[in-house]
Formats: sequence, structure tokens, C-alpha cells
Amino acid sequence: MKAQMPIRIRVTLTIVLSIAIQSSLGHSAQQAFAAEPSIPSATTGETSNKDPCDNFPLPDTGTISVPQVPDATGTTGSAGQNAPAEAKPAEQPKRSEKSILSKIRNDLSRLSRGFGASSNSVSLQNALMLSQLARGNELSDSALKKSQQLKNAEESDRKILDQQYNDVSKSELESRLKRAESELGRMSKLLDQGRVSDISQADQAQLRNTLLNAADKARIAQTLLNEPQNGNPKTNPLFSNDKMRELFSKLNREQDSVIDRLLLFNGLLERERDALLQRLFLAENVRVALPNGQSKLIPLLHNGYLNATGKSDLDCPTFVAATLSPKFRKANLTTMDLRGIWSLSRTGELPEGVKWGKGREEILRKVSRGFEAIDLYIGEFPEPGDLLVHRIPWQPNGRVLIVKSYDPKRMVAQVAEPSADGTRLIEFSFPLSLDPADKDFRKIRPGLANLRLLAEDNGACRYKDPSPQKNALNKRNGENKR
Amino acid sequence: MSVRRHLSYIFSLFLFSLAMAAPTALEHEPLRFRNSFQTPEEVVRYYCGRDASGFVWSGLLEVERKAFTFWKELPEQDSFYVAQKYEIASARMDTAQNEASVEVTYELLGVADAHGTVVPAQEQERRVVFRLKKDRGAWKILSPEAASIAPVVLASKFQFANL
Repeated sequence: MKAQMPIRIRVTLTIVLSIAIQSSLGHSAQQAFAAEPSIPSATTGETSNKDPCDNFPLPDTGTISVPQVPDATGTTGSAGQNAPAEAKPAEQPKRSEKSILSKIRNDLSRLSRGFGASSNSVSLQNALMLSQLARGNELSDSALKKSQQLKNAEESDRKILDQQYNDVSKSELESRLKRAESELGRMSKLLDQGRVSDISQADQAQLRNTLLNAADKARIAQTLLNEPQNGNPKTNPLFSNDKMRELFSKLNREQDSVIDRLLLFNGLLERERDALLQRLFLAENVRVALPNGQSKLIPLLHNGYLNATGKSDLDCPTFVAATLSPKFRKANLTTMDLRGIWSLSRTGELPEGVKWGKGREEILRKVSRGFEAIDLYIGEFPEPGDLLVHRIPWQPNGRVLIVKSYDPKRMVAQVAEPSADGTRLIEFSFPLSLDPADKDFRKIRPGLANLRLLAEDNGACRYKDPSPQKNALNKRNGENKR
Repeated sequence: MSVRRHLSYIFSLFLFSLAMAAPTALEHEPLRFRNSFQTPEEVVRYYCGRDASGFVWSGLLEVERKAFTFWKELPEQDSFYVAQKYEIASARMDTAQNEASVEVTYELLGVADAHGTVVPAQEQERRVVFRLKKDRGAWKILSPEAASIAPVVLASKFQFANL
């Protein structure tokens, strides 16, 4: 009888049934599950506000610690490549609506198991999983693509700057290195004394250190210039001997890349710099407000994520890429910020016991509207595409992983994070519990915050992807220039 | 005697005012290209000096990684410890293995990020043991590994810690 029932009717029936169960019991879905006799007691979670050793005390979420429900979400199915729009809800639910939707989804999957493995409702559940998996892959693939685009932009900028140094004499190079050292030192002092408008304090901190490193590198290069020459004199004199080649190797990683670009750029005369600024992808003029009331405009070369957080037109792949990579989290959303976002999204309040940076709460509140906070400690599960944040608040080491799949029986998530150079994702298994697999009660490991980015334009980002070419065009049209 | 005491007090006030009026130019441990240090303590002192001004947090350079460590990667953390001060103990040498251990004791204030967000320190003291090995005449850091080491800035050297 059930097997012959049309799927549309069965979906409606399931939803009605699930709502009826909730309203008749007068409890949350989790509480309803706790009463379910078939639920094993092997996977008890811990509430985040009951273990002050590992997590911040949070305001009361109105939830209780309950056993986890196995198989509420699954991990089977192959990766699809559907656009994020396909996973969009009809309209963006409010906080309470989101919870109801989440409960309905849990009920739906639980009830569908009762219809038998070969029924259409299982296909429906699989479709749901596939959709989530596709969204997860879409997010991580797009983030990777964004990283690659920025790497290409960096290489292009480096090529343009290298060209300015071809066939330059040794004395001219020496003069340029001196100029670079002086200019970079001057700019770093400005950043020490003043406040750069339109970029975050963390961006400024990073830029200040980058400028100091670039000035130091220019000083070192001047001493190495007098080493015996053993390079092709017709090529770039920056590679005229072994030590110079080592110092300026293009194989050096990202941090060196921005330093080298800054050094090469600031070795040029002012008029040359002005002309070149229009051709570089990753360059901005920023204004430094000085304590004496004056302001100075300085050209800054960067890594593509300058003050990305909180921008109203930030695209979601950039947002995810900047959040996944520790390199870019430093100046955007740190793991501590993400814990704050989780708390804001879940309870409307920031975690206690933290002194937040100036203006930080406003940004975090805005970004938190882009997320649904999933509480792993009360039995909710990660889904493909979720950002799994791992950070013990009083330790600076933290990481952000993108969930590819989750096995609720083993309590193991298959996750990914970017490689050191940001060009590929490294997948690995991440156990949500550190207790032995055969232990009766397995606690969720401390320090986890699971964030689900909404599948439509939201407070954190927008699902559009302006290409670097378009940005470059805008820049050439003077939109980003002085 | 009283006049001398008064003069001394006025002179101290003058020096203090001068110090407060001075620009906030923070000295930093300059980048080095070559590891010419003779002792393991000097290598650790260089690392801690760079760390104190936020260079481990903002990103060490490849030349530093190669010259001063055996690390395959560079440390990458979005947050850091903030310390009031640190002390570097004398090295304990293991001449047979060509290795040495140098303990650094930090007096901690908290954990922070460069946005100015701060979590008070759980423990006031943090000890890190650096293990170094001699490689072609140069002492290099073997452990802690890059993935597990946490940046430690000094409140007096990194104004973005906002403590």
C-alpha cells in the first residue's frame, strides 16, 4: 500500500505527520527523539555550557543534552555539481522557521526509514543528501577556484613587475633597492603611527609587518648584490647570483610573493609606480589618517583578501576561501570570530568571557545572519558544505574544515581544508569524538562549532562571482583608484 | 637633601613625559637571510624576537624557514598568545646526537587576535621547549613542529594586540 502511494502525497503526509508529532508532544524535535525507544544511548553529547573547561559559557539555548539520533542525515551518494541555487529554500527562513525546517527534515528522514529501504521516500532522502553534498562540493570547489584565480592574479602582477627590472644595470638595481628600503620603511612607520581607513586593524597589522619584511629584504638584497655574478647578464639582475636567486625565488610561497611585489614596486620612481598601479590586479591606494590630523595616501599591494569580511558585495566563494585558509583568516574572520558567529546565530549573544575588538560585534552580528548554527553537543549533525570550526578559546591554534560527508554511526566527518599554497583541497577523516569507538557513551570532542552557510544571498556573502577580470576592468576605469 | 630629591623627581617626570611623547616606532627583530649563529640559544632568541613583533603570526619567510628550521611548512595561526615578557634558559646540549634543548618561559597575559579580541590567559606561565639540531654547522629548530607551535607576541612589541 505504502509502496504504491505517489511520492508527492507521501511527502505531504510525512510533513503533516512530523508537525503533528511535534505539536502533540509539545516538545522540540530533539526531545521527541529522546523519547524514541529505538534510539541507542551510545552517543550522548555534551552541552556546550556544561563544560567550562573546553567551551565558553553560553546563554541558555533552551535545549537539553539528549542522545544523538543515528542516520538522521546520511553520507551516501556521489558528488554532484548542482548550482547552489538548486539547494535554495523557497524563501529565507527566520531563526525559528529555520529550526522548524530543520526539525521537519529530521522527522522526515526518520519517518522515511519506516517505509522500507526500497521505497520512494528513501530516494527522496537520498535526493536531499545529494543536494547537500552537491552544495558542499560546490562551495569547496568554488573556494578553490577563487584561490586559483588569485594565484593567477599574483603571478600576473609579479610578471608585470619583473618586466620593469629586465636589462637594468647593477648600479640602477642598487639604487632601486635603496629606494625600496626607504619607501617601505617610511610606509611601515606611517602604519605604526596612523590608522588606515577602510581596512581592518588586522589587515593593517599584517601589512605593517609585510612592509617591514620587504624593507629588510631590500636591505639584504643590497648586500647580496656584490656577491660574484653567475647568472645570465641579459636576464633580470635580481637573479644575477645564487644568493639573489634564493632570496627572490618565484618558488617561494605566498608571504614572499607579496613581499617581493612590494619591494619591486617601491623600487620604481613615483611616476612609474602611479602608471603601474593601474595595471596590477592586487593593488589598492589606501588612506592613512595620522595623529596630527593629516592623512597620506599610500599604494598597497596585497593578497586579494584585503578587508574582505563584512563587505556587502562579497561573493560566497571568496568568503569561504578566506574562511578556510588560516593565511586569510588572520585579517578576516578568525576561529574566535567564527565561534562568536556561532553563538550569535544560536543565542543572539556573544560568548561570555571574551573582550571583543572595537567594532567587532557589529561585523560579527552582520555575518552571523548568513549562518545557521548547528549544535553538535545536543545531537545535531554536520552536513556537506558546513564549516566545522575547531578552536579551544584559550589556545590560539584553531582550524576551519569544510564538511564533505558525515558518518553518524562512527561519528566521523570526512572533511577538507586547503593545502598550504591554497591550490587544492586535502581531504581527511575528522572524528567528532575522541572516545574509543566501542565506548558506550562517546562525548563530542571539545571546541567544535558547526556553521551552515545559508544557500542564498545573506549577511555574510552573496552568491555571485565577479571575475578578477571584471574587477581589473573596474579598477582601470578608476573605481578603486584615488 | 630635599632640593636634590625635588630635582630628581622633576627630572624623572621630564624623562617620563619625553618617553610618552616619543613616536610609537617599535623596534623589530630584523629579517636575517643567513644563519650565522654559533649557539642554539641565539637561534631561539632570533625566533622569539621575530615572534614577539608578530612576524610568526603574520608569516615567516621561506628564507627564514630554510635557514633556521627543519620545518616543511610555516606556522599558520589566526590568533596568538600575548606575553608580558619571556626568558630563554641556557641550552641543554646532547653532543652525541648533535642536538640541544632550549626552554623558553613566557609570562602570559592572554590569547588574542589582531582585531583586538582578547581572551584572558588560563595560565600565567607557558613553557616551550625548543629542540634544535646542528645541520652543516648551523643550529636549526627541529621541534615544536610548525603545525603545533603557537605564535607569542609581546604586548610591548606588537601594538595590535590591544591589551
